[in-house]
Amino acid sequence: MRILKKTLLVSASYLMGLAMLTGCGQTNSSETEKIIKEAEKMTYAELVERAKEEVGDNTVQTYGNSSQLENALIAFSEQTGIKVTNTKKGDAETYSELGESFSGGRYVADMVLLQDGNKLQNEMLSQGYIKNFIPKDQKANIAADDQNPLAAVYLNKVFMYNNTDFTGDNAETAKVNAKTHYLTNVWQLAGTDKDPGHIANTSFKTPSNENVNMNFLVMLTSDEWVGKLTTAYKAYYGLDYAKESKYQNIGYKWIAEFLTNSQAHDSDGTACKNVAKGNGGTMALVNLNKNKDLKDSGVGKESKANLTYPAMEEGDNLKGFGGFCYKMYAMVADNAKYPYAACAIINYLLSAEGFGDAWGAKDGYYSANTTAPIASTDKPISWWKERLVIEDPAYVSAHYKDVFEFVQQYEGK
Amino acid sequence: MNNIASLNKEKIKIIFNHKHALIDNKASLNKSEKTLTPFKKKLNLLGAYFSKPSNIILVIFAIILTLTVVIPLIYLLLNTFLIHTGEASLGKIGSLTFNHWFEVLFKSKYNYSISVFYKPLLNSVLMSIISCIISITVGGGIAYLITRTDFPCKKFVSLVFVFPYIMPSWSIAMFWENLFKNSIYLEGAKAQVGLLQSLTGLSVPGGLVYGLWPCAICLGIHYAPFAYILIGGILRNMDANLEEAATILGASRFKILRKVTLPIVLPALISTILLVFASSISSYTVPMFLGNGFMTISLKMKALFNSSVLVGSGYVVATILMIFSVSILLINQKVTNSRRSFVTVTGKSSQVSLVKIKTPIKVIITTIVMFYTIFFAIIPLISFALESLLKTSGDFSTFTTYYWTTTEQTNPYISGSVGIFHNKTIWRTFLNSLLISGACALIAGTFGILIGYAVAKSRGKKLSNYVSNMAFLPYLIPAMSFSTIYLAISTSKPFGFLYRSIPLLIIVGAIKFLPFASRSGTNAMLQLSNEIEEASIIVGVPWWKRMVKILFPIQKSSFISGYLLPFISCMRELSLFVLLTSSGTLLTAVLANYETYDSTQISNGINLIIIVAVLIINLVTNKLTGASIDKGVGG
Amino acid sequence: MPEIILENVTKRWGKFVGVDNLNLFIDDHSFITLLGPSGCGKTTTLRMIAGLETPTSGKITIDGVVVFDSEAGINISPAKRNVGFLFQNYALWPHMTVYQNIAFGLENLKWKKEDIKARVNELLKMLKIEEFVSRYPSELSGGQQQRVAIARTLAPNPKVLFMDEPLSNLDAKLRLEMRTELKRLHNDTNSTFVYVTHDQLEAMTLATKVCLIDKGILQQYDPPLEVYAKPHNLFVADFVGNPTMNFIEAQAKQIDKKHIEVEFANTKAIFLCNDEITLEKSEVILGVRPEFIQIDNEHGLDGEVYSSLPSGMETIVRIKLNDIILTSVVFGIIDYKVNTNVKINFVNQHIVLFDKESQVRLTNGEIIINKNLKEDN
Repeated sequence: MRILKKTLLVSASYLMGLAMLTGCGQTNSSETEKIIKEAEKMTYAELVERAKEEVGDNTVQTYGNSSQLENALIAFSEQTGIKVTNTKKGDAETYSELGESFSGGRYVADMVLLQDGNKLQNEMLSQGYIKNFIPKDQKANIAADDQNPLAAVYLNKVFMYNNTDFTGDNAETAKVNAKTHYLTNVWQLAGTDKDPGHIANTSFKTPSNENVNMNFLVMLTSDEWVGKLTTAYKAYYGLDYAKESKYQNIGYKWIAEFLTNSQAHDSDGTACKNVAKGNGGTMALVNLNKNKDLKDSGVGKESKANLTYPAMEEGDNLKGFGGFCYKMYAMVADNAKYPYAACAIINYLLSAEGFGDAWGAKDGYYSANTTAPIASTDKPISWWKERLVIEDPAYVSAHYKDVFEFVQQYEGK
Repeated sequence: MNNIASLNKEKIKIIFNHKHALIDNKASLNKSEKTLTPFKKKLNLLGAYFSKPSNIILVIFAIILTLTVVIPLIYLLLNTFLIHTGEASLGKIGSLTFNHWFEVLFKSKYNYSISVFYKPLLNSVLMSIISCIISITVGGGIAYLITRTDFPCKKFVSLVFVFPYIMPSWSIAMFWENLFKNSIYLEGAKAQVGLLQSLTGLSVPGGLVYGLWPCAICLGIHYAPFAYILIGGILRNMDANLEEAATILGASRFKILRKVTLPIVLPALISTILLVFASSISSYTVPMFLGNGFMTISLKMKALFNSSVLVGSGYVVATILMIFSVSILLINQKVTNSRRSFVTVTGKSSQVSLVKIKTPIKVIITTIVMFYTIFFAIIPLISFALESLLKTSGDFSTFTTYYWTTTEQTNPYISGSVGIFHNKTIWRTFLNSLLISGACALIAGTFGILIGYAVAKSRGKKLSNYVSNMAFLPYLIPAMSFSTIYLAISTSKPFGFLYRSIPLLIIVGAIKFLPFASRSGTNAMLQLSNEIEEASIIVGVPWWKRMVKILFPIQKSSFISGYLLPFISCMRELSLFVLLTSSGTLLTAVLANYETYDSTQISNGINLIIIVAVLIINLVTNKLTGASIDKGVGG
Repeated sequence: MPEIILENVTKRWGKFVGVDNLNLFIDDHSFITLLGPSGCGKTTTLRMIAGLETPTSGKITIDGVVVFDSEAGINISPAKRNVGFLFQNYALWPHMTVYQNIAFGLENLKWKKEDIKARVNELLKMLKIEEFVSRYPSELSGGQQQRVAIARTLAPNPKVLFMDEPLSNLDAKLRLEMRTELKRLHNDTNSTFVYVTHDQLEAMTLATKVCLIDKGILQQYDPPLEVYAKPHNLFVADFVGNPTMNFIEAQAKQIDKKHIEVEFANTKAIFLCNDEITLEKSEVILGVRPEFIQIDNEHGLDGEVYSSLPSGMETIVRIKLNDIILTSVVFGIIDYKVNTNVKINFVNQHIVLFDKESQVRLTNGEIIINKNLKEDN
């Protein structure tokens, strides 16, 4: 018994010590930073050469949230002969794994491609686990606020609705494009069904499980969006918004009502498909890029033609916003084994060619490099930025906890 | 260290003194024995204690289990007091605080504690209670029908009834959703035409497709086999005379059920409730598929862990869930140890006179049972097979073997996503899953036998109770929490070598499923009388030989069942392993990947492969060794 | 009149016949024992009368009421047959106290609470288990449990009481005690008892009539002493009596209606029958009870002591007579040395003559020995 007690005590105190070490600083910080400073002066060809020397016959490790990344990596490997392996996991799992690994000093990745600027800042950057690298070749074409931290690609989640009058019965008699101007004011998504043009059951991925969604909600409480929501409110109800005690500001009000009205799901892709083949008037707030999975096949089936995007349809007449957009950041791991290779890959991804290999010419993907191509049916990111909510990591970080706690009341019944 | 050294010195001194005395004078032998020091006495006692193999095993496993079970729990508890990265607003990262507990239990701003803890907990408890009731009614009812009445098709039902347990719980949920979703009563993007609507035109209300009741029903069906095995076990072994005596004394059949059968079956009922409740309340995948807004404590826990700012709350919720489960375990112990011992006096094996059900009722009952069994055991398999063969899911006019045979990429998101037969990833990970599950089963099963042996031999002693309880505890820890803890351990410096390694998976799997093995091992050993082993001890057979050549062969079927159940559980387990491995190691992870990217055909195909493989192995093991899931659960 | 009538009762499982065309008339107030080796069908018969087992065919009547008739399709449930059943392993409900166990049947009959209490106390007193009233069965010894079981069975005053080897789980001393108790109970309660056992001593001492069954077929149904003295066949003769009867194979030749010449073990003798018989076959078996072989030091056949087992009250001596070994029982405190020569005599008129082939008893009689053939030569 005594032996047992002793073991317990020792192990417990050991673990306690371990736990407290979590969050301690890193070693070798200056080395990778030095290499990056060098790499930022090199062209792509030079980077590739240094990388080949560095990697030799080994394999570079990347962690990437995006499923398209692997296509680019394959192209990169073919081009340069450097072997790359990517690990792709869900958002939360990626952060969790990386966080645990980096804090333990373990090498798991050379380059990481992560979304959610808030988490990036709080869990990775502030701890010094990842370092920023700006590729020389594309620097001129990247906007200043996309350079640090470096954004590789923009994605957007927009409102989309089924524009047929299909009601689940006869697909033949339902017409395509029967609904127009379905959503003109974001307050249609809030309120109750007594309100004119009320839209219920918008598909929206559970914010607690999807960080970028949560960040979007947080942003709605910021001054800029509170202003836009107030204007939209006046346009919709014809009254000025009178402050209510239960909501800190109108942003909270919209969040509460929207979440109450919306329908949670766990897969944006499935939701997009369901909207396309569902009844007329079904609405969702999901990634625009999911429409590439739709196979054209008529009314009551998954067809791109069945979808209309209010942001595009209404343009500036849409009161409020058409959705939100967020970035995927490409960073070099501080304890990377092959930092030059990481830099080479980042350079490649930011180039028009590399972007094209990965995400090129598809709806819903936009490079930070403004010379990279977009889909013909799409609008450039600069256009979207004027009509969508963009995450501001500083604001999100400061207000995340409060909004997260606020949102818990409205998730689930 | 010093103690042992000085002990040795004392030992030598004593022995020297003793020998000296012997050489001196035989008569003074008595005198020197009286000068036995307490040290020597303790040594003698220790020696005697460790000469029994069961004691050695107990001590070894007490240490192993403390390390692999208790310490992670302490870690869990500890984290409810720590400030984590991301919670810097509360204070210095790494320091202690009561804040998390306070917030979860009492915070009223934004109705925090209600929406984060009380409401989901209530939902989960409600769901678990209903699923308990369902599984006991269904499982217990069928157990009664098969052991006590002249119900026909007994063999078929008892064979097939276990299938829903072998299937992963989310496949039943998936099946339910695919069957009942409809475009009439559901709203928004969820209004899709399901099987029932497309085949018959009938649609069920939304509350039957998603929400509390579908979740509870699916869980109840998934765990009904537990109830069937445990309750059936007692019914089978129960002395039929007990019921006959009541019949002779004039009791109606219903009265007998109420006053005689049920009270005797009570320990099994409580064990079932323990297992089913603990599993249901921590179920994640079923409410995820069928919840549609129904918030359970497991879903909330995952959300809290996801957020970087409320991780502490997540740990608190996990700990409270643990406490819940542990209390049920203690209640279970208390009831089965009561003075109304349910061990019946054994005499001659008595003939069981089966209750004859009147014909019209018999037809109704048979139809209902057969319908139920086929519906939930066979039809899901068929539906998985079908879905993998349809080009457009749900559309029966598009039959094709494309997704099984093609060499083209079927999904742009997943590299190497060719048809199943050619898909190297699938077969490689299938082999991995088999091997890893096999290794887990091997370890869990062997540990289970050893623990069962030691616990049965030292029944009632404190150490034995400790080991027995610790061996069961992993069952009550939700898989998610378990893997989170081990992820943290495997990324810490001293244990870094475990990170993402196969040994880590095997350790985690073996410990998590050890409870089944230790239960069946203990039950098997308790059935053996001591004399069997004593006969071989007298002749001088060493311990390992006794285990291998005598004890194991006699209780072979029970022991092998202790291997079988961990194997099956591992094969279909996902949430336990998902954090600890890349998506390219285990088949279930590959399945989840295909599922995320909407490759319904291939994911259904993989589902089918997993289930069929497990079924075949189960059947083969059954035929060859007599081992079965029944005995594995302790029935 | 709680009499029980079995007519042509058969129980078959597939091809195996457990009870074969049994006909039995049990008088009211009698104490019947069903006796036979394991697997002979006695428990099955008992359970069929009680209703716990359904016969394949036949008719059973209890107290004038037809409780089972395969042709008429009648099968009254055991709950309604107003019988009592005492199980071999008592079948006490482990989750109920002694009081609750005994009171159960009365509650089912909807007795008033005070009446139940009175009756239970009466039984507790009768069986001397008052101090255990609040205990659970697992806290009682075997004998105590058995008495509780008896109390439970007797509580509703059943007209017929069935007992399935109730004493087999008790130690020897307790068994003897309980035998007496049961016989007295039978007297006091005035019911019909049907008792199954494989212990022939028990059957003999308790019953008013013994029913012997072998392989599902009725062998004999007579009062104990008649079964003992006049066994119908070899099976019965062998089964009843301890030590078992000596069976001596002999060649027989009929001299006249009452005299038969028999030859066995180099000995010629005359068998004087009690009744007149006609001997059909020449191969016979003489059944001699051990107590009918007397050891004499002076007159008689020459024999050699093979073994001697003194038990104080009696001594069992095995004697070698030429090429056969006979068992004899001698009363008294006496012992014999092995291999000593003794002289033996056959006494008493209850020597049984069996036909060897059919194994059936022909008659009883006396053995009169001429002289040892050996002495002649």
